[in-house]
Amino acid sequence: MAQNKDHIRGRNKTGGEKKPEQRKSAPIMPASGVAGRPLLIAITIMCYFASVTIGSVALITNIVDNWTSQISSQVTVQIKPVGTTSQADQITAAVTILKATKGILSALPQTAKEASRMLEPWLGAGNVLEDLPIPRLILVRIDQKDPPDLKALALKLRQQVQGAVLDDHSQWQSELTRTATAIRLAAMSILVLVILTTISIVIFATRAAMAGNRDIVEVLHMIGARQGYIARQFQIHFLFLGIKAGIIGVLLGAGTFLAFNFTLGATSGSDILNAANNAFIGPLALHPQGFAYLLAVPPVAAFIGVLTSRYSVLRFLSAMI
Amino acid sequence: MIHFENVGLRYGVGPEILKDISFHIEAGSFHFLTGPSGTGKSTLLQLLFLALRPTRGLISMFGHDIATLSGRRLPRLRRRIGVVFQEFRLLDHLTTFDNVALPLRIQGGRESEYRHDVEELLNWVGLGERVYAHPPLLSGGEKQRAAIARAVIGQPDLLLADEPTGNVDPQLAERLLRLFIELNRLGTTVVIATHDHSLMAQFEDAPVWHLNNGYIEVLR
Repeated sequence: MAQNKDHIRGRNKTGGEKKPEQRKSAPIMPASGVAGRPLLIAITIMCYFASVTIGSVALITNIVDNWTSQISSQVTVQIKPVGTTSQADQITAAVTILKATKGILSALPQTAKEASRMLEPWLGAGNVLEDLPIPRLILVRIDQKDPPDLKALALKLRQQVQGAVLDDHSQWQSELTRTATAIRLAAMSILVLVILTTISIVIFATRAAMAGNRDIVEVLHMIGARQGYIARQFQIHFLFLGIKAGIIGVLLGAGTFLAFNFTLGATSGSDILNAANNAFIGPLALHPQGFAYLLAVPPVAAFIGVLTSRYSVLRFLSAMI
Repeated sequence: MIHFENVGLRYGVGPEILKDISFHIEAGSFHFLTGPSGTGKSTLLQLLFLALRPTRGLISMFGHDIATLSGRRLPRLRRRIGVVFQEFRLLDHLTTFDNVALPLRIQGGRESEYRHDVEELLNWVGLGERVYAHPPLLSGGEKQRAAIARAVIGQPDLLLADEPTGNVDPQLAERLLRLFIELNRLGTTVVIATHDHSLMAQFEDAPVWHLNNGYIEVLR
């Protein structure tokens, strides 16, 4: 019986006997005893979380950059219908001042039709502008390389055009940036937690592997293997485990963002909120550079696996003489 | 080569297992270590293959004081010692060949460099037909011979064997003893812990140390 089993073990897949020169030495530490399927699944989930978090940070960063560049390149002049001068004259006076100011690229007053359409969702269709004292807007694009003195411009407009108020969006910008920074910090904290959890999982897994393979470790130790050599027998499995789990986790994470891009990223301008969303914060889609960041996950996972397992093994071995 | 002076060993706060052990082992000598079960034979062997440090006394091996030797330098000394464990301690997932080649592999040897030596040794111990079998499929005697082959493949200066004939029939025990004697003739110092009086009777030139109640005495 034993002979038969042995005979079977000695055969390769084609059924022929394996000649010594064809066979390869088995790994000293069996992979199944160190990095089994449950550990692969656990590390893959961690890599997936890391991918989603990194992608989210990239997405938020992109949105914040979009906000910042959009907001800092535009200011708005609000013309309130006050006094005896007609609103149209107020707008003309304000546009004249704006166009004469150095650092202003364009000053486009909002047409009555555009203003009505913008208010339509809230006030309904009709002759709203004539019936209600609604301010009109002038969209001003400024040269970011040579911006005008906005404080002086605001003062000049207030003094020379009745009811003119310059809004440089600074309050709005600082609020949004603060919110974005908080979201980014929260995402970074999640990433740190994911890394710490991964390290803990690898430590526990290494300890379990050391306990499960204690015989092998002791034999290697007794026949004169150096601690670094024994640690490498574990490290190699955690290296491949990290790479494998990292690749699967990144693929799943990238798939999530692709699905996200497909469902939320490509909003059309038919809906006024989507149009405003696209114009203001940009599409909710992970950009190619964001996907590139995800490629860092497999090497980092492998690095964490190798380093943590090495530390755990050396710590375990240091207890032996 | 090996010098023990007033060596004592206890586990934790328990009683002393070994007491005032003093002896000197010359290079190229052959010794039997005997005594009732539980008197510390295996513990003494563990001290000899550097798996334990004594709680008192002096141990000098290959010119090094073990008490002052750093952990980093111990592997180099261990490579000069071949050990045959009582329970063999072969690695089940490796073939007989890979088990025997392990001491050479951990020293960075390439299979192409040591394959001939390993196969020759396996033939010599009668395992030529079981080169690529795994330990769970080997008989007790075959495992014993594989364990001995692993202990001697690195041509150690010192060979320690714990009950090396405990699992084999008298004919094989005699054959294994001849193997140890042959190794000893080639220059290896041999220490065999055994209960087997017939084995000791077959090699009357070798001194016999008797361990009892933690003390060692020379019987012949």
